[in-house]
Amino acid sequence: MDVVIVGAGQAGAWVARSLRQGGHKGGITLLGRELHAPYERPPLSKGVLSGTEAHPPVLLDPQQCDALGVDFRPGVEVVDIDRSRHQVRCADGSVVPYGKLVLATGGRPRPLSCPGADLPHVHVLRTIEDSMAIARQLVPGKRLLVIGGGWIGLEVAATARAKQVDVMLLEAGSRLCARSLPPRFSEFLLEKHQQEGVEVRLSTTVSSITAGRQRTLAVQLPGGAQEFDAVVVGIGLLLDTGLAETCGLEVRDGIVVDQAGRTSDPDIYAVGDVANQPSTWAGGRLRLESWANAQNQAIAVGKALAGEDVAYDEIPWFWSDQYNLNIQVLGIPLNDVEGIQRGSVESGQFSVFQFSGERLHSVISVNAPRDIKVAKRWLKQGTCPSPDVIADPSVRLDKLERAA
Amino acid sequence: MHDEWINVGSVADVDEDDTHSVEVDGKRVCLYKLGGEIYATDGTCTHGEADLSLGMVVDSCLIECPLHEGTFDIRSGRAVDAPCTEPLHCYPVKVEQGVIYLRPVR
Repeated sequence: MDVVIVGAGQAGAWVARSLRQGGHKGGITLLGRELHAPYERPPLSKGVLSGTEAHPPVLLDPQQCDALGVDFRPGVEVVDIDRSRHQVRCADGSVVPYGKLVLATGGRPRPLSCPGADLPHVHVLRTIEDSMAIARQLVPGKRLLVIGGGWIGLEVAATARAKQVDVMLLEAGSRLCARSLPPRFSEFLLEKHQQEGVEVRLSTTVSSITAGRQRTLAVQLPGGAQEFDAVVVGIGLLLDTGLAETCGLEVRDGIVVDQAGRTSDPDIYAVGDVANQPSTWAGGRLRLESWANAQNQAIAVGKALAGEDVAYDEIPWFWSDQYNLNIQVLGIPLNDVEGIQRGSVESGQFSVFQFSGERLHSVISVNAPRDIKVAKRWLKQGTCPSPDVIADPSVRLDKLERAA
Repeated sequence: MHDEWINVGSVADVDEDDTHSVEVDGKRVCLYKLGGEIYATDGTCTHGEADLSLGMVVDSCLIECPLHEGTFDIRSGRAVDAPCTEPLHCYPVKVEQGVIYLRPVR
């Protein structure tokens, strides 16, 4: 039985690996629109952007493809799924038959909707090429406008500041990272970025961008026009659900799948950024745009395709590196819960443990990765120490579990 | 690279089921104590630039990278959990009178 994977990003690559490691004996074909071997995207707003990393980690190099028997075809765009014939059609007219199909199509950056969005030096960030194009602009003294106060915008701003670029960041909403963090953390990040010299304007949008004088960009803001050397737009991901929608699969905030990654067609699976999956942690369904989901959901789906009984339900986990901050989020934070704090903001190392009644619900940490690690174990085991113990800095949380 | 054994500290420097970071020839090395035995590996994850000594020892035999949660078997360097796929280098270790010696061979 041959498996065809559409989308050769992190998720697509891990499905291929996991499938073969799970004992799959049939063909594995991995079709990617990009020309690169599958790679991880997080460094594109950090190390690759700053130049400290030449290339993000590659997940399936040619040798590994050979060893695993994965037929990787870069530069291939799939344009149609024929469910009854069990085949996909590519842009060049070629047809690839499948026994099972996996959609790991992710998405593309949402473009600005105002005039001027397609001018040179207005960048989005999703691919290696995007990152390198922005990197070329990160020269000391240049003026960068970042549109979007989510993770991408914040990481780009931090990386640009480290290169002594002048940065203004705009967020249309009233606080930073509103979709992912509770208000106190939005506030914490706002202060950090301001301390690092970023001019942050909340509740602000751009009405137009035009070519400025001397190859700059003139950006129309509420207070008037300002000139920038470059603009980076990080305002969300437009999901690549077109193939799924056209062939009649259930699509609702992503391609709807079950705990094994199966879509409404039993021979078609979906994984990664594009997949809308059941999650007990979310009390329903969720779609995660995270490194951990792209990897771990894909590993689970690979196993499912290899014949294992799989019920993927991992606790959401996300991290972001900005300046000297390693921010990690475990679970889905609640906006209106104070939580138990461990450590102090002043020390630069702290975690907030949020409870829902007696149950640990989520943890957000700054420079305290071990707190996240132990909390993850507690959540898996369904146990948790008392809030008093958690708040006690003299107690080592990772040693606690041994005593339990 | 030397052929001799280098003193990298005392057995008391490393807690049971824990990590301890040392530097050998300018390279980050991580020491562990598992069941009273001392082990040593490269201190940098093979997947990304993470310091393994900041990670956790799991099941008394694996080191979990703090960055992405990949794991290696401390005793053999074998990559166990994703995203780690390349093995971690392990160093020969001996303990004499409470002192840990390591041979920085590759």
